[in-house]
Amino acid sequence: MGFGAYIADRLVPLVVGAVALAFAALVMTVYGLDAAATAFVCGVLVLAAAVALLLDWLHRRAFYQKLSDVLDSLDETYLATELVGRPGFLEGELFYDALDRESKAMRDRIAAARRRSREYREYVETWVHEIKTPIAAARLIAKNNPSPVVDSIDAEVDAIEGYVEQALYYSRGTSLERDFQIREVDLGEVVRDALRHKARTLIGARVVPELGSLDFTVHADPKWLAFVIGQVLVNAAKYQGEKDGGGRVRIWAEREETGLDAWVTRLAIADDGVGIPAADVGRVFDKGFTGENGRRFARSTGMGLYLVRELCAKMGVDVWLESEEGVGTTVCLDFPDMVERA
Amino acid sequence: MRRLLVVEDDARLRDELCVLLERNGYEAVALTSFEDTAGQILAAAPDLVLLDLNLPGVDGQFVCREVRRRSEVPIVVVTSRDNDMDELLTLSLGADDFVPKPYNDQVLLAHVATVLKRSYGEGAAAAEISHGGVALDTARCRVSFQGRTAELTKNELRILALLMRNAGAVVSRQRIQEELWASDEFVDDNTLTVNVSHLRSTLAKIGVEDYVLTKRGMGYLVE
Repeated sequence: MGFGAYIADRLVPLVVGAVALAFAALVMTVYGLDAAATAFVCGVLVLAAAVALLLDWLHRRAFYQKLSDVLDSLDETYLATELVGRPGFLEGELFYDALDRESKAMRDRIAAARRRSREYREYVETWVHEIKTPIAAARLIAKNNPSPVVDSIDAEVDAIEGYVEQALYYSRGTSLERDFQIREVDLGEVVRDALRHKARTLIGARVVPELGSLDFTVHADPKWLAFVIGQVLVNAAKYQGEKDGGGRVRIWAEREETGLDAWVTRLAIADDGVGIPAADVGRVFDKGFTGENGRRFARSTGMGLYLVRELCAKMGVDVWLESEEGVGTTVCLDFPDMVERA
Repeated sequence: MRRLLVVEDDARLRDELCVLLERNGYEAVALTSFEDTAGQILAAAPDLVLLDLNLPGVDGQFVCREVRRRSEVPIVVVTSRDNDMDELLTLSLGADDFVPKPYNDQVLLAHVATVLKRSYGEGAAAAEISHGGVALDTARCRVSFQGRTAELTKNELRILALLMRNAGAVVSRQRIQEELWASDEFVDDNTLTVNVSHLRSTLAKIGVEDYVLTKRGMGYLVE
């Protein structure tokens, strides 16, 4: 709040004061007071007004300056009244009280929304855990009684399990809480874990992995990472297309220097499926994006790669892909090196 | 034969687990009530306990600790709670292993076999499977028939064991592939065909003919 703006805001009382002062000077002159005395009285009055205005301006400025500084420094600006004291002038107090009431209402709402979202998430977690028992039972029944019909039901149960898993990771990945644990994991182990987990889907689509060197350790949450790799593998199976002899998905890792003492460990998963149309490549990680392949091939929800990107972002892993129609898609996960290694 | 105790409140899952374990050469018993679960487990004195953590009325982790306090019996925890904290907590309570639900049957069996071996020594998990005069020694990778014995590769052993356990039912090629993948042998369709034909010629060497039958378009069958 500049002094000029402050004065401009008080233009009406100032003009009224100036007119009153001029009138008083006129009266004094008419009554025969000598010019020096009149000038002196007017001078004192003008000076007094100026000092009063200046002090008032400084006082107000301190409050507004503090408020704007606090607002600039806070991420959650609705907390500002907690950090700025109540000012000592009437308008400021009225303004402060109104702001405080508003932000309290806002904080209450946010707390309620947070609680609801946490409760919902806890419900999803519980639900997912509950449903795992009937799924496990159904799968055991299928394994204990093999027959072509039961096998195809088992494949459907497998798909259900996949969607349930997606729901669990959606609720985990979009949650405000940070409930994953980054630690050192053996890349080969996680990849094999994901392959075993998605065996049914891959075998059903006649896709077989070819494992290259996976002799690296990276920093990630092992369960999240296995889920991410699983989603990429499921895509390799889904978008395999029709071809004789089945498909291959090559999985390998390599270390690459990206700068001075900066390395990434890259996990690459390359399928030889239908590939992604060039127009769609940039959007496949978007939520709900299904694209041309999603329409042409089996049930696409547009959630798989979205979750892959979200979970990777939370773990600090860079995920990207290259694709050529009719040739295949290569998905790469870049793990930054957090520890110095010679 | 090793005696396994299944502690699981879901009746359907419990029955199927027992069937699975019995087919794989174990004796399976199960608890049907969960009053004084720890006491019942100790009274049953099994060789291994398969323990579900979510039991009605009792905390599985409490049961685990109680059993461990009074006995060294191996405990494999099976649970649908699959976060790291639960896993750590369970193992710190004295469980020997942790398998998250919904488990792959082969993965579960592998965990059980590993824990048995660790607790009772090599060969403890060895289950002899026999059907139609053919006997399979899964610990030594050997098959015998009328006094003649032949060595099998790991894949051949797994294929034959799966077919013999499901004797009388057609087992699809996919199902066999899944079984091999569960132990990190990511074989394709062609490799499976080669494995089966090797298996047949090995069986022929010890005088077993037409044991593994092909059902065109469906899979394989041991009658």
